[in-house]
Amino acid sequence: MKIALFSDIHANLPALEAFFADVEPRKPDAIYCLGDLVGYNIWPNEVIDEIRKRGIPCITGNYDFGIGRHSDDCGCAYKTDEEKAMGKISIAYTNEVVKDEQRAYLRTLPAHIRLEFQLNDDKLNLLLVHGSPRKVNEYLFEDRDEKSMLRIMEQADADILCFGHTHQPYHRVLSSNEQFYHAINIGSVGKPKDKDPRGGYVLLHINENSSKTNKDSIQVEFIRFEYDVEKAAKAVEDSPLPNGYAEMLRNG
Amino acid sequence: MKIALFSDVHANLPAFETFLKDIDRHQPDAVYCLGDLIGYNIWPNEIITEIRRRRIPTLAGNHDLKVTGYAYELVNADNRKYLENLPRYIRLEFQLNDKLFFIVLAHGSTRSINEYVLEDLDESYVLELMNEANADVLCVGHSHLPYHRVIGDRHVINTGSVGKPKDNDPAGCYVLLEVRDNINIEFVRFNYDVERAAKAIENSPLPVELADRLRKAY
Repeated sequence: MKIALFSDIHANLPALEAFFADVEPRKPDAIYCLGDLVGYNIWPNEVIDEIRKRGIPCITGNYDFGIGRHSDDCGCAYKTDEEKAMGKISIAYTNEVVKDEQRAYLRTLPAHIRLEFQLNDDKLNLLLVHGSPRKVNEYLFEDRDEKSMLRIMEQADADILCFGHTHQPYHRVLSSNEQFYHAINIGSVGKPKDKDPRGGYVLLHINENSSKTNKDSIQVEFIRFEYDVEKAAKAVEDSPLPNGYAEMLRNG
Repeated sequence: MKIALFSDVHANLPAFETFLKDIDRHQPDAVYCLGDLIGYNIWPNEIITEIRRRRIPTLAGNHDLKVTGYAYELVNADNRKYLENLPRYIRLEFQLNDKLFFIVLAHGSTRSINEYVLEDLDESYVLELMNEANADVLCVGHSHLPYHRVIGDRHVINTGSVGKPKDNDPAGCYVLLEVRDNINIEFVRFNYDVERAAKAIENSPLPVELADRLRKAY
């Protein structure tokens, strides 16, 4: 079966619409959203409404967690004072525009979704999280120490761990105790950070041969799609949001 | 958020079509199917194709893994693969107000695809199952007998059956589960064209008794 996974839309409606147009013809059997629907652009309510309208199962991202609780903290790890100042404006703006019903939706989203398969008389657990299984805002970068990554996955009983949050897609296969573990960062629909401004998402292929002892039996397809970046960037510039967010969209 | 849960469609297209129209009225934020798409009627492929088209997250039920017999041999190769690769359990892990709580979806029980978790099952056994599965809310199907049982602060919910009710009410059944600071359960019944579904059985090689069971819901 073909499972589409997407996340980190960040209130970018043109990117979300382009994602739907791209994913529909690929006919996935299921679609899951790994959170961060809001923040950094002007369409948080519209993005929430589009995802709800389609009944797409969705988990909470750190930004959603903050906005759902009307908090001024999005749990984001801003590095510089400038980034912190920009971040403050973004979360204040988002708190102001998100409506009650949409906020209630964000507040009651699950933190994780776990799918437990039983194929080839063996279990195969797929865990969907936003940041890490331990914390909604923990960044799991590709260069993380192998032992640490394995420990996180073993503790969470996850053979396949899919997550977003860093906006930098990768698929890393680790091995321990004669089994393979798949760590998959699915990238970002609406705010890519890998120097490619196109939106990104993942198609995960699970079939009757899929097992934790066969490395190639779980396939991950990274898809990139063009969208109207200018429209999304201009929307930022015409709003109270810092113009820096528009440049980030243009440059990925 | 509002979650719709349904199961045991059993290849009953008239019931399934009516169910799909009925849930639209409630606009759930997510819809999950607890398995048994096929068996006992003539439209397995139509059901599977529509579930896939709508991308409804679905568990394997015990009937979905059966391959011999008229009702099961109707399933085409592509849909058969889909059924074989369905997950057995889905867990929704919530963290609201710093409290973790887990909703576990299973077809039969958290131990077996064809174990019945009935309403009068010994309480200590139910708690044992739920502790083992780390479940605060356990949602199952399989018995076609809907109920909501509260044990302390835990909930056990049988979603009933969309296409083959067995509680003497021929109307289809599903559940709306609302997650707020607490959880709220609503059972929804809907009338559908039972005669069309019953006649389809009578005009097929399936045992005619199955038609009577649809009409009287046993």
